[in-house]
Amino acid sequence: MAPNRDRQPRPTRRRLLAAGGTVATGALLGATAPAAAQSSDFDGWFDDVDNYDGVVDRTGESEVTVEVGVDNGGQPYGFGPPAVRIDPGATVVWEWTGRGGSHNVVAEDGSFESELVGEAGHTFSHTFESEGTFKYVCIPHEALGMKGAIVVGGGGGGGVSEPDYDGWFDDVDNYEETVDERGNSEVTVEVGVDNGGQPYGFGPPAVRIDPGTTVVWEWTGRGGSHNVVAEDGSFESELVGEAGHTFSHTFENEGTYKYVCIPHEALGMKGAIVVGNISGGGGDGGDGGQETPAEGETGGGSLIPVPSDFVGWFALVIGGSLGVAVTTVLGAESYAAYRDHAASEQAYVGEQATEAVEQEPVEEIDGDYDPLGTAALVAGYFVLIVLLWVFMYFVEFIGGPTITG
Amino acid sequence: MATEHGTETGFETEQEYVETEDGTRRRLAFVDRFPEAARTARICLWIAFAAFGVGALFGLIQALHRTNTLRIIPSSDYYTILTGHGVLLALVFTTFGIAGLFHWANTRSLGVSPTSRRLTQGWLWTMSIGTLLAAGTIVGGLFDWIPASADVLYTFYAPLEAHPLFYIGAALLIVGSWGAGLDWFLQYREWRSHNPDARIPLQSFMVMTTMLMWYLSSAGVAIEVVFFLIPWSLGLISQVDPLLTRTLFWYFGHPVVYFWLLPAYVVWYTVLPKLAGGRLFSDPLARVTFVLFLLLSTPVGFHHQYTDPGIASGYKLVAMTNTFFLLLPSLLTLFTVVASMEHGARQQGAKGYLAWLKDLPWERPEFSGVALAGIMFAAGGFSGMINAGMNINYLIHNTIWVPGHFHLTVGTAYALTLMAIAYWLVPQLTGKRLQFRGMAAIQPFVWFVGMVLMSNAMHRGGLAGIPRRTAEPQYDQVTFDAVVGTVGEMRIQIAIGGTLLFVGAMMFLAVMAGTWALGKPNSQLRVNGSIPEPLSGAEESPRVLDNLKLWTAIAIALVLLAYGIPLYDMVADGILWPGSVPFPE
Amino acid sequence: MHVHRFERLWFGVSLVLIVAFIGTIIYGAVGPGIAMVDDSGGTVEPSVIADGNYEQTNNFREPGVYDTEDGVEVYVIARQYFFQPGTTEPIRVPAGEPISFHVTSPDVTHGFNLAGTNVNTMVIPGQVAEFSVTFEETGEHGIVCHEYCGSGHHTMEGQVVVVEQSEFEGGEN
Repeated sequence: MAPNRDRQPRPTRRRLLAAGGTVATGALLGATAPAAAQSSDFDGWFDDVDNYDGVVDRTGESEVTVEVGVDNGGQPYGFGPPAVRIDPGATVVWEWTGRGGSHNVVAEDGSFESELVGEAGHTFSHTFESEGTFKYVCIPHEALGMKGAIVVGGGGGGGVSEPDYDGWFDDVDNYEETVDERGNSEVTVEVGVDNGGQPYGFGPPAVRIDPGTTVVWEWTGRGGSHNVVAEDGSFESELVGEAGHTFSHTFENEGTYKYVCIPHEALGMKGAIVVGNISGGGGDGGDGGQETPAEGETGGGSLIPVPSDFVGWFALVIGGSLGVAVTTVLGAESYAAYRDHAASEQAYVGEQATEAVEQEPVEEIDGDYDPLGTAALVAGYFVLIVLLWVFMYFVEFIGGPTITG
Repeated sequence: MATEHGTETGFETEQEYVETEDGTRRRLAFVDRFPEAARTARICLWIAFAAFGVGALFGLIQALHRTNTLRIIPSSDYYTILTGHGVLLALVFTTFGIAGLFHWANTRSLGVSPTSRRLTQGWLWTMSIGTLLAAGTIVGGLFDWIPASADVLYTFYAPLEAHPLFYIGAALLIVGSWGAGLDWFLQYREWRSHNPDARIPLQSFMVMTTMLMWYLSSAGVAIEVVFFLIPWSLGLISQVDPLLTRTLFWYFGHPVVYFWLLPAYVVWYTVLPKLAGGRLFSDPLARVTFVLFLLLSTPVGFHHQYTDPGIASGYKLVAMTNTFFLLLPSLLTLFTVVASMEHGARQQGAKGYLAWLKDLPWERPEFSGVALAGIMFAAGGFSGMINAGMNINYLIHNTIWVPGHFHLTVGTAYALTLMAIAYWLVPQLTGKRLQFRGMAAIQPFVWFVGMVLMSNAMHRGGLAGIPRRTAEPQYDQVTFDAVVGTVGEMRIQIAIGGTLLFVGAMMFLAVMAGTWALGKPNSQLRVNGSIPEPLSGAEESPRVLDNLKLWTAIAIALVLLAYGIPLYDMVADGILWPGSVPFPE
Repeated sequence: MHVHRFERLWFGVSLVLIVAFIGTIIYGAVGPGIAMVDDSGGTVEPSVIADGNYEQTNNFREPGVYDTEDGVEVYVIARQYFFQPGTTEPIRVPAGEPISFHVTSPDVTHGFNLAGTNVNTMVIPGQVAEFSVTFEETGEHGIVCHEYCGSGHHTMEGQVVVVEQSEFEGGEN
């Protein structure tokens, strides 16, 4: 992960945090937050949060748990899940995993703030009464992307519960819940993500979208060749293994669409797309979706830039010809030089490798010689290091606070 | 051929000479006198150079990243790159380079081939596998699909935890180097059986004292890794004492810098005088110097821990005193080596009080590189004295001053010496003439200029308090006030200097690759590998200097004095207490 | 053993230099009183600090600044990746009197350096670094963690703010 120094001015609120971090345990302040929040992009809030993967819908539950200190881009500085949608009046319980040292949970608007602790099993809870989006961070690890948000109320058709997949995900280790991506017109699902320790999973396996949304499956390149095949046959991708390959399908009709990677179905590589506000009971797949296989253009799998207009083609042709010409000339020259060189080296080749004849001294000087120049140089070095030592001594001991016993 | 050396090489005979087509009598190159040893030395050097190339690239990435010139990696990956830079250069490039150089030096000066091919292959493979394991786990930190990482830097302080294979790899590298030492001692035994009364040839004496020091000191890190870190990273023990493990590391961590430097000293004492056209000034003092290094290199490790809590001031004071006496052999070396160069210049007809300096063969890279490395080491020696200066050290401990210092020592005194001597030695080990000599001739100067820029700025940055080992030394709550110059100007010098060093490294590798690919085997070389007798020879030095058992015993006694009580203090409250569980990164 | 007279002379000069260096260092420790961090801070179990059970130790307290009868005592925990106190809230100490710092770590090895000064210590899990500093002037000093402590190491920083005696409010002892 790349904590690229998102250096906003630090809010003065932080200065209020007491040294020991003992502040307002569980002070359930009423959420006086911006009402009417209906955001799915959070204004870039989650840009540097690797483990953000859409808003997890927990509406319909009166108590929702968020873990503090889960894996976020390879480091234990994340909230799990980072973004949750709940009903007004529901209580969120943050539970510390004990990983990644001490964390706290501090609302951006100051409406709630936990103590700073590291102990596993510690909890902090807050009840959200009013609708709105509540962003929060772990202050020590904010720069590392430890950020979250609670969305209270709203959300497409409002509360939906987890659809009944009829055991479809029983053998899918990386399935936790349906990720709510409603409100987005295009949703990406990765093909070949970690699933119980093996790269045979869809990430995320279950997604809820609005009708009319396009789902783009993007191959990670891990786990060999995969495909994406709907159980009802409404869509089916090619079987490829190349990283960056994409396949997309637009879902027009409400319903639950289950799909698998045929080669790895037995290993639990299964997924589902829930279209619309379906709760409980899996619907049958509707048809009418459009299949649009797309390679290169959407995925970025191709490394060679393909020009899109005349100027681009013109530049490519001219540049390419120049490149070929220069390479040919330089190549020919180097080859000629190499041949000459090899021929001249050949002149020195004998039956065995031999050394040069040793150089005789111009005048032989024996033991009784005084290295006067050396004496002068060494004396100069002596003076230099003494002066530098004195300089360091004064840099060290003059001015500024000093460590004492 | 005026000075052929009876004592220096044991078995030199007329069969080593051939009449060439042009009618001259030439000595066979090392590769045809000792083909097996030449092959081993070549393999070691190629591995060292490969590690050097990768490590140099990592160094460039760091110099540009730290200075905020160009950031092509996320800052969290900086530490993976930094670990790779440290391990590949300070452990792999050094250990393999030293093995190659010592294999040549010991064989050449004793005139005896290595005694056991199986032993040689054993240590080569052990060191190579260790390197692959350590490097593989480090690189794993950059790629998600490699299920291992070792972002622990080359000091691997617990409780930061690396993958067990990293520790196992490091252990194998060290165990392999022990095997190499055994190889050289067996060579010596073979030589001794034919020369019962002769003095130990100088290069072999230096190789053996260095290896004795290495055995004594690397035992510390071996204990740390084998008894603590490997079982801990495998989950066999739940905790280790961070202070105890870092103390064991630094028990090894200072002598290891002499393990890197002494090969450079071997070159400075034995080859540099010849390259300058002269002879070594004094064999006795050379032996005294190496004995002092064997005695004093190890009981000084606490000077890396002046700012550590949990260690009483008295132990730090003892280490400080020992460290300053360790200056003595280096100051003696300064005189002897410069006097040898002056002797060379005067033998070639140079006159004047200091004018002989410009008559030295600066146009030949094997000379200029070694000499420039020596000059840089004199500067690095000064900043080392400040590091050793106990409470003076507090100002610059763990600031960028420290890497500024060791880029002058291991990064130039060792690295540039090895590069320069490769221009002279690789032709002898391959039987190929050096290629791209124009590039080779300027390469040491490129390195020198790059290092002057980078290192002076790093030292001054350290005085301002800029820390080492960080991806982004730019803070919100901290400002750095430069004592000399400005922080912005230092940043530019580090970026430019680091880039020049990378260019210098690539020039060197191009020369080596060119020689390997374009040079013809069995050539008539431009270099001569014989080493003249010292002005004041081995017969002048007391025989007791050759009593390696005596010096080893005294060295062990000094180590027990310096480390016995402090280590007892640390383990008395429980060998694993106060302990820390692993923190994987 | 034959050694050139110049070399004998240099040998002597080198020894004088070495003794002079050692002498000035010891003078620095005794005269201006530049002392070192040593074992006086004692040891603590890192997990006790991690769990916040300071009452189980006899040499560490809840992090904070305390105005005690023996002078101002500052207890700091350095952890991934902040100083507590120091990062979210500066350590406020009075000028003109010795401040006693006690620093330890519940996780990995850290560093504690007031940038540009010789107030510098390693922070090692299990050990309490104890040292005194007298700030003669008011002002701000940046705290840098100078030992690699994980991938967020470069974000670990803090501040010491030195205030007039009259403005100083320490925690109760």
